[in-house]
Amino acid sequence: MSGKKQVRESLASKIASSLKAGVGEVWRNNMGKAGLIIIVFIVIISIYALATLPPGLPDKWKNRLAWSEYPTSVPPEWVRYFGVPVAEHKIYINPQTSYSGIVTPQNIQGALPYYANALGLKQTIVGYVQVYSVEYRLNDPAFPTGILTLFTPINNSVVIVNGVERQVQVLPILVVQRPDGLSIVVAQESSALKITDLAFKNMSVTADLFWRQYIDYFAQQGVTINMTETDARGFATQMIFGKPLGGKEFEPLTGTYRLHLIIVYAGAHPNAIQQAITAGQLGFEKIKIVVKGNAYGISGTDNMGRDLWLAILYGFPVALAVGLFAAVASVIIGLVIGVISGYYGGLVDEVIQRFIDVLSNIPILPILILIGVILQEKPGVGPWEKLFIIIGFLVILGWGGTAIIVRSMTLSIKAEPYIDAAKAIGASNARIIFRHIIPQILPYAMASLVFSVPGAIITEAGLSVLGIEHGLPTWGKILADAQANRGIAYKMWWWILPPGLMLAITGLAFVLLGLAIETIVEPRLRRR
Amino acid sequence: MPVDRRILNVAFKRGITLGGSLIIIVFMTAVIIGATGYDTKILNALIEQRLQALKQSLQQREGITAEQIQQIIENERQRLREIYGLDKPWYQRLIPMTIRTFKLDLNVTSDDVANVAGLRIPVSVGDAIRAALPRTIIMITVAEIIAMAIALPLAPYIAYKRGSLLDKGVVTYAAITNAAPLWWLAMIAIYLFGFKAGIAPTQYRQILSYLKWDQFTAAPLETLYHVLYFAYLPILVTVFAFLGGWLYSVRAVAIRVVAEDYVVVAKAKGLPERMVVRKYILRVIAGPVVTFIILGLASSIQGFIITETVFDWPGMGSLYYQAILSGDAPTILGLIYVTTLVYVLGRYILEILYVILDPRVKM
Repeated sequence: MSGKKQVRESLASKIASSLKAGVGEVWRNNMGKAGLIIIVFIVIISIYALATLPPGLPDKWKNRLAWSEYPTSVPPEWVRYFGVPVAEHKIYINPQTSYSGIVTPQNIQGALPYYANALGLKQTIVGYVQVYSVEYRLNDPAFPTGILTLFTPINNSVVIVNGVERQVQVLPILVVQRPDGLSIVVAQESSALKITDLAFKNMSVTADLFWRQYIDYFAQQGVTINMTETDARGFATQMIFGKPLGGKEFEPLTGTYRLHLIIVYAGAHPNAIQQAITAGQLGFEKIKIVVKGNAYGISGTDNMGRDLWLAILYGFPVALAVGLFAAVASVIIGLVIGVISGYYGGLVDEVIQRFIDVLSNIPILPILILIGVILQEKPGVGPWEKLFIIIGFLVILGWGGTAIIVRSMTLSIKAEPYIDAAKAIGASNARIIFRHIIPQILPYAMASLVFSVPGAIITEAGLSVLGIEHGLPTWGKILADAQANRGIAYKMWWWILPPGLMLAITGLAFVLLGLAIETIVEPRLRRR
Repeated sequence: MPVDRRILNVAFKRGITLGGSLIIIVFMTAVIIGATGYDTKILNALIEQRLQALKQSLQQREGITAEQIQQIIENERQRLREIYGLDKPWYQRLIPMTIRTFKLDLNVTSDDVANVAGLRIPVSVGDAIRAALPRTIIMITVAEIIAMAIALPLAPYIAYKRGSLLDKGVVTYAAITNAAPLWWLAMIAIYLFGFKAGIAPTQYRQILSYLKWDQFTAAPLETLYHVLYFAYLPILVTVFAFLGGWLYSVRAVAIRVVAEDYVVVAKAKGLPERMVVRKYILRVIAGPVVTFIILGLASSIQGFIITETVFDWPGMGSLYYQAILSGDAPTILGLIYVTTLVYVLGRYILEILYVILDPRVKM
């Protein structure tokens, strides 16, 4: 018992010391140094990703509605440094109130001049009004891709007037005051609604409200816009942020835009509403106005508006987990079975070798895809479970090569005289295997471990591309979505380039490290 | 004669092992498909679909009562369930299914699979594979041959010039192509050459209508042009990805030889470089290199499932993928059988060659 323990301890310390020496030697090799540096980077980014990414990201990634505030299909923001004009993506949370008070037909011109000036005005506002105003600077000649307003109302929609409960209704209106002086109503609810219902409304712009006024305005200036109402719908943001050139052509109009969100309260006497708002019983906890840019973040967005950078980050720990788990597991299995096969020989060896024969002829990828597709249909299997079942099969099908090499090394070590000597002084099989054989094979096992990491990562990503999904936002998943939307995605470099590059860099790091280890453990490869 | 005896002995033993592997692999795949109930669900849906069509056509006919229709439908359902073997539990279907797979006496069940093959149902699995195979050969096997043709003469020289800038460049190139997935390079190639530069197609499925023998005989040049138009980018990308691996592995084999004493002596004697490479290196590495070539060619006909899917290239890989997606068990088994057979045959030939060429090899 104690002897076994001692063997184990000495094996552990041997591994530790040889690992230390090994890392030192790898560091002296240029390729090894490069590989190690990249791997350390990947580990740091993985830790950062695990620490900072929200835990609900995998679910959010699948939820189309969760990404409505993001611009869709836009490149990263840093393209501006390469001369691409960029309309900034800007989020305004709880903007300043520029006006609040009671509006009547008599004072509207003074209170809401931009609204009164909006041409083609047919309705007149009467009642208690709050206006939230923001400024958006368009510096580069580029079109933003949309404006979205989101509300979080206080959870109350009644005021009490003379002891009677009154439902308060609101009408939100968004007016854009352009740098050229034109004011247009770009968004408005079709009718007043219960204030608490606004929580479920994301108000986006529509050309229906301003296209006629817009065309008339520019017709007066001598620019003819040829557009029907249906045409105009597709050009809403270009019309808002652009200067018409005639026909259906627009060019971006740079300058400062003022966005006014007008909230008209109705349903009760304006004074009662004003009191309730001042007392904080009515109104909004949060108002968000988003001007969607034509570029976003570090890595851009896909066609659902998802911030690709988040999945790139998430991909780091997943890739490391996949690669290391698959490599460690298959090399350990290959090592153990290879040593057993080589050391014991005879029938054991024969059975193992025939088994490996079968294994090495299996077309691995089709079988993995088959298993993956079958798993897809099984309900109630979690994403990480699915991932590791797939990797498990990858391991089960993939240890044969290591076992063959380990076996032949074991055979040659077994023939050395010191093994006979050990046997003669009564060393047990376990002692010989653990003290004399495995320590010698370990460096080779390390090299083959490191070499098999990229294969596992790439195979897993490739399965994702084929639609064998586990539900985690990874590099493979980004590329899988690109493949599913190939008609549009293959035109967007920011969608297909970064995830593959990450796969390649991660793979390259391990390949370089493997090459370095190989040079060290294979003296004949070492340069003389 | 003792030599012939030895060869026969090896041929027999390895034949049994490799043939056994083939049978086990096909059988186990059938077990996976059957035991998980993967194909029954799809077959049931298929039968219902056919019955629905039959019902509609019967209802159009006059002079048939609803009960008669019901009767006919029930009989037809029974008949179809027997055809697809659904009247028996999966483990009873297993053996007949495996045997029919080996005879390639099965029919494609899914329309989508038939579409990839460019054929129409009813079509046998054998015909579907015969249709897809040339398209995989034109892309992947051709690319493999081109990569070989470049690497084989070049790699020994690189090994000979170990440590030179060229050598370092080749190792780096090999490391990069090893790390970057071929199917991702395919995506980038479609972006760059298809969408950006506009000098390559962005859709490759149409190769179906050009890669046909009767068309080639009717208008050889035009057909060749069309085929090349669709094939050149997939071939180039594949060659780019393969070349690194080929250069590196042939170089690795050659380096061991370069370090041997007799090569050092030959160099020291002042023999010209070309002679050293040809006489003392190429000859010795021929064995392992032949292994690479035969196994490379044998596995190339499996197609590349992911890369073909990215290109939407209707070869063996796409056939595999579509068959798995649509639960077409006969096609999956047929493909596993044919591709494994070719690979196993390749290995078999190799092992016989080893024995013939090298008298030291014992089994």
